[in-house]
Amino acid sequence: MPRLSLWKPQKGNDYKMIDRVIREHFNVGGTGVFIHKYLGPHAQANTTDSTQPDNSVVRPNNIQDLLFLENRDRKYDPDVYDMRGVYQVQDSDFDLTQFGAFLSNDTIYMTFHLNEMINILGRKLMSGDVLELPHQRDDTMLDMARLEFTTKPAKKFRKGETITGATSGVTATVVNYNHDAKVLRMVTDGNFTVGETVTGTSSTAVGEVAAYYPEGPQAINRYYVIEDAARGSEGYSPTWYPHIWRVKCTPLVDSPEFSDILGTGEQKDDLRNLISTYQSEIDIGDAIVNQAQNEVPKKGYETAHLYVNKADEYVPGIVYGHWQTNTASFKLYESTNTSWQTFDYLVSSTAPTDNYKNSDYWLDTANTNWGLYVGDGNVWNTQSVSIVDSANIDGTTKAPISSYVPSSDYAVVVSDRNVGATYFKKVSNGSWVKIATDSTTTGLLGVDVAISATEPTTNTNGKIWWQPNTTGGLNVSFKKYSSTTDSWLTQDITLHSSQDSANDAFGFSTKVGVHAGDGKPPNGIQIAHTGSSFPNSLNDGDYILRTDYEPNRLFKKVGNRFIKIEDDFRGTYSAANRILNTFIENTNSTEGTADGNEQQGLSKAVKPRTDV
Amino acid sequence: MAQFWYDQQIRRYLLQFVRIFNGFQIQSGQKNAGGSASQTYRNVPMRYADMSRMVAHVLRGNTENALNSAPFMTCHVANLNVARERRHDPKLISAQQVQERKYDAINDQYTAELGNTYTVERYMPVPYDLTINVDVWCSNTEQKLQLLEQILTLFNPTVEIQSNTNPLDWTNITVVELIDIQWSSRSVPQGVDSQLDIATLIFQVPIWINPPAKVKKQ
Repeated sequence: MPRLSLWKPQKGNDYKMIDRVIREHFNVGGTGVFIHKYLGPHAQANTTDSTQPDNSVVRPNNIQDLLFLENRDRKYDPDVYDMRGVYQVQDSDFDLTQFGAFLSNDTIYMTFHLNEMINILGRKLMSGDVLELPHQRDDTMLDMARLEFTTKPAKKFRKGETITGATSGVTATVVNYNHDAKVLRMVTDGNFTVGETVTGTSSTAVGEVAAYYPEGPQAINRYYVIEDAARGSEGYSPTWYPHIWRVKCTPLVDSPEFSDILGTGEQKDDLRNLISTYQSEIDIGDAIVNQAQNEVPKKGYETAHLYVNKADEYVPGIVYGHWQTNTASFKLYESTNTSWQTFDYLVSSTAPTDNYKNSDYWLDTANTNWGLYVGDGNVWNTQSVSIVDSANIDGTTKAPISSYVPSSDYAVVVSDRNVGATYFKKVSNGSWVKIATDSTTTGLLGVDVAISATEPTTNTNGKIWWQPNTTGGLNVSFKKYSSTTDSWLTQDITLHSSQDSANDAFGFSTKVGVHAGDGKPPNGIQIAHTGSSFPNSLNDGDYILRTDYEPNRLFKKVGNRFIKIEDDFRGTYSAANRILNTFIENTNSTEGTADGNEQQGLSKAVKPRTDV
Repeated sequence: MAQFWYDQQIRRYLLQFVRIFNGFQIQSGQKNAGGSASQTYRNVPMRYADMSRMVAHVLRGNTENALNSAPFMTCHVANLNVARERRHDPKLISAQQVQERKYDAINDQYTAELGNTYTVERYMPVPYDLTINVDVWCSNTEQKLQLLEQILTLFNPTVEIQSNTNPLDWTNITVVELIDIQWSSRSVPQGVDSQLDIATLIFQVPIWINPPAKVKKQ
């Protein structure tokens, strides 16, 4: 008599009998489970990376990334398999994390009948398979009313804003809006009309209604993904053969791995649009960005509403003649980046022949009109002046010495950049007196003095009139040496009685802190021309925005110059700096790159091609 | 009793901080060897982390069947420290005069003429260092590398943010500096439980908190 033994080297009738009973237990007492079968990583074409192979034959035992050892782009069978499984339903609490509320301990261990599984699925359940539990279906949800738009609106609707139908007049509050799928979910008490346009109150987005679905019932199943799978200990029969497959499952996450099941969300019927928190999270992010943009729509400061006397910066290299209103004298100032500065220059009636260098200035006395007139009771007669040479200047008073006897009684001392050019008159006692309008000086001079751009109303014999006006009066001939052309170039000298006046004329500013750098003229002045050139039709004082500069540059026409006022730094905010942004936000096309794009990973820039 | 005032200053810094991280995308691989045309891009949500339990349930639609999405980024204030080294004269009052363009109330627009003149007195703000953590949750390593490569090139070492555009606010521009990175919250090897993989980027933002200003029309 053979010995009694339930163990047999082959799966015999005992095994089959027990297996049928167990199968029946599952069929009778198990819950229905829909299986989304994992087929393998999607095939990748034209990959030259040996760590990320083509996997052209899709198999579940392929590995997509051999470096990180992960399968990201998972292919799932479009068919759904119905099986029976058993698991212990348990209570679990929501765990509030930074990414949202998760069900803590929501790990379930589900068992399946092994042979039934092989019959239905063709293989054992494995890590990556997705389980859908219809018995966990939440059919008490209310789907919100939703609109589908004919075309993608130009602007995005915003979460929480009110939308209004143009024809129906119905209003609704936006709960979420999927721009790609052109679907808007909302809370409303009315019915929108197909074909009408709806407008968002704050976003001003406009969409044409292609379909309207009122609020109604909605149900979604519960999804799990298998993490681990192995034979369950409870599935071993007295024959020592296993009958049960046990899988450890965790809740599914809406990640790209499962886009074959959930969809990308770009189609209105994608499951992802119903079941995932993604769209709400995106809407929340959009709302934050919208508010951030409202508060800082552009970089820099908002100054358009402020009144600015001198809105613009200094431009270096501008020269002007500063005449005194009470003394016949003037200084020359040249602008730096921040202020006006006096400067040294050469003085002679002929072009200097030595001791000069590039950018030196020369006061050409032979071609300078000194603007000095003397009255005779009727007319004003131009008076010649002498330029006092250094040997005849008192080092202390900076006045001509008494022994200096030029051809006329009037002389100009141009000795020091800080003193400027000062007019003197030789009086009867032989001394030289500075020409000025105060009573002490006129007493010494013995005649009246007028300093004005316009002709004095009274003309008495011997009265001195200094006209600080380039038309008929003071007209300084100033030249600047250019080593490039080896010549003295005439400079355009205008006259001003104050630095404020010069600032206004040149559009300079001493003001700090309220500098916009926005490419806009001050005080609401309109830009006369925007483009890539300076047209001939411009008038003095016109502002021009040159858009061929990066950033755009604002110029002001002053005489025959276009003075740079400022650059427009108030672009749209970007986390990357202006230069880095040109590398990151680069949609330029180019020839010679594999994809025709200018933007290339540095490691792939101008790589060698096949050279046979 | 102190008179109430509140200017949402830290809120505005956080608003602009979140703005930096919005709009990043990740790219999927090909589908069915479809080449680049079959690749898809997914925007990565970014929001404040410390939400209330109630809002979390609202976002889930009050169902336990809703799915959380990945990848995902959140930020939260980890610390607010007094910045002693940036403290200046605590009793300084800075007066700034500004002139407004005249406002045409009939046509609702500013004119080119001089309008109201104001003196704005500003009291010395108090410096603080705001430490903000950004958590990056990814469902795979490739995603994480895609995201971090885009983010990390921005911070060399800082990104400038501006909390408002008022030229009178002398504290509205500051910088965000990446000071530390925690690559993963997971231990290696993972063991029996697969936890979320969270990379944490730690940023420091030097900020100032201003008392209210005095605005006097002249």
